[in-house]
Amino acid sequence: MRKGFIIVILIFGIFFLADKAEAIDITVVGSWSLSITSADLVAGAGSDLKSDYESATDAVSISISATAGASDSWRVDVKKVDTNWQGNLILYIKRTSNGTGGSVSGGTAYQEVTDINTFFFSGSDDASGIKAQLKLSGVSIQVPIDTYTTTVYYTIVDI
Amino acid sequence: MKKLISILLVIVLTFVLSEVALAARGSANSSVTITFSEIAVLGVSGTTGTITIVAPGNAGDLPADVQENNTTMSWTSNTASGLTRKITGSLNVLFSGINLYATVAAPGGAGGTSAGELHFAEAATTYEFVAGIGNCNVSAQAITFRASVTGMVTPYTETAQTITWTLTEAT
Repeated sequence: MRKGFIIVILIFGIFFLADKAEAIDITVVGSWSLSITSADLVAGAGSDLKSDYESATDAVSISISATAGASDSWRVDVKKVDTNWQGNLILYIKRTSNGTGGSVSGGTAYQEVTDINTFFFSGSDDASGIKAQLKLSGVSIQVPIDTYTTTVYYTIVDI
Repeated sequence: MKKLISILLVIVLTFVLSEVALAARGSANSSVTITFSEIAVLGVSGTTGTITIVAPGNAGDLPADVQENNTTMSWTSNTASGLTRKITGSLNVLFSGINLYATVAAPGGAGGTSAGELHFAEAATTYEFVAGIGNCNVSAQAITFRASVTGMVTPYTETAQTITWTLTEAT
């Protein structure tokens, strides 16, 4: 009887935790396409390409939903998974707005997006329309002609 | 039996909690696409000076060759893997009684290798001055012209002729 009671409590606890954990959600809208041409040469013939390029400040819009309210804290981690990338190219990201609702902090300075999940910004409660800007660095005429693609993953972690 | 149940419970709990931990993370993504287009830009700076052929110092000699090097060439190039570019030059009309030669300097390596001095032997014909150009940006390489009199002709002032320089894919 006692054993059965413990098992019931455990199962209940597990389902409760699972339900709580699955509640929070993240939605990302936007992408960035950049075409580098001779118009990007620093000073015409004989010069190199500009090294840095920035997306629009609202290239990416991130929304957090289905939190448990103002007391429900979360963080967003970021990483990239390359489809075809070139070793000289470095991708950065920064948060450019707080969006609406909730409380958001951190991530307002450019940070490198690597292949490993890295803390981006944190907050609490539901928040929508948090804007982010991307920057590409390391461009030069030495980069071979090609189309390079990577996917940036934004992971919400309930904390 | 009691011990076995406890162990089983721990195992089940471990797996379920792992799932819970994973479920605490949701993710979404956005894509980044960067396209590097083909770039082949060539520029010439400076103004070509007038080449004046003067009388020789000694009777019976032909006038001495005259050099001119007031212009420089710059280029920026990228290529698809395995390909190179070259710089060619073409003179639209030959000068009467004068052979015109030109040299385009080049830094070597991916910047390209100079072919040295070449003779514009025929009008409207391309001559390859720099070869083996890869991904590079090269600036202010000297262009040197040499005019050599081949035989005495009636003095004249020739209308300026045009040399067309082209940065093109090597075949």
